[in-house]
Amino acid sequence: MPNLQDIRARIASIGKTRKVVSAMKMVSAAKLARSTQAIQSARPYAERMQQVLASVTGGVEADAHPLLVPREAVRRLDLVVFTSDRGLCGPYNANVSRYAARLIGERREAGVEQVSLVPVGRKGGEFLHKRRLGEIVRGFTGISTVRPAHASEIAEFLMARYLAGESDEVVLVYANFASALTQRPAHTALLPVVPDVETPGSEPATAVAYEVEPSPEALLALLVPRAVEFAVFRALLENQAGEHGARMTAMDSATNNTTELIHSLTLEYNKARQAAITAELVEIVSGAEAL
Amino acid sequence: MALRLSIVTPERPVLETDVDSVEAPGSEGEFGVLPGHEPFLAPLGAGELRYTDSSGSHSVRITGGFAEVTGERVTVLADAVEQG
Repeated sequence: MPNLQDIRARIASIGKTRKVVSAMKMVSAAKLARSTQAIQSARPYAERMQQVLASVTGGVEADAHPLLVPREAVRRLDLVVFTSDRGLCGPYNANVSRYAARLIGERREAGVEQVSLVPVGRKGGEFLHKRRLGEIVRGFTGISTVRPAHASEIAEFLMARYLAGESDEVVLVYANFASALTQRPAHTALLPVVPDVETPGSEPATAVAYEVEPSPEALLALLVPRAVEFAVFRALLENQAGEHGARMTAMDSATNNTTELIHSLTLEYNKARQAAITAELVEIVSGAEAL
Repeated sequence: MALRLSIVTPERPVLETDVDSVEAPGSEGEFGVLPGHEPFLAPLGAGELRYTDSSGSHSVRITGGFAEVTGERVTVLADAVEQG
């Protein structure tokens, strides 16, 4: 027969766990709301930026800016993997990391000789380090609230490597935030910059012939790094929203599980209590009969 | 004819309003935009961006960015702004 005191202790302990996970769920929900708001707020800038970039690059030679020129053969690949610093967010980090691992395999088969890794977020860094999928050239951690300055720091590092010939292509791997329930790992090329001429949902403003001051080349020298920084910024935002969404979902199911567990343990406790009472009664009755 | 001014930063859209004129701190010197201006693109430096609408003159501090001007709209892609 299960010990009454043990069951009571377990119920109390699970009750405490329940408090923790449900608080984490609330916090994640609030952070998720802020993060999705940030994604929404970045959208107008993204659309305008893409249009401007497309209309400027449309009017110049393909080699007007070194970051626009694709390398003839991609032998050295820089892979930036966005994950969270902290765990307890379900399969989020594992999904992104596994996606990155698969991508590295594919690219190596396609002729890439050297893969350099730039993990953003501690969890992905640990995974990539353990699996030895490539040299980790630099890791970025400790980004709790995404600011444009974070993106600039990462983007500058990547652009410097590209310009110095240390990488022939830079690819970002991050989970696209679809909803709190689904984040799909995906990859996008960061460098070389490919201006997206056909932007879905925006009017084809590329036909406008702009006068450019001081010159298209000078403008590109400012515009292209800005576009790269912004692409990193967006990835950071998606990653942030994905992390909180995944954590909220994970903590929600944890809360439900603890509730269920408490329920079944309470049932067990009551059964045991009833059994103890019955046993005592039987003892008293049989004791009285013996007299 | 009015001019549509929109200021956006990576973090948020700042402003979207109809104005009569805009004066922007171009990196090559300040420039003014009136409705019907030739389409052009210019980098912006740090400074005051002033605009005039029906309620008077206003200004926004920007730290740099780009301005895209067409005949009927001015789009400012700013790095960061301080509203004042």
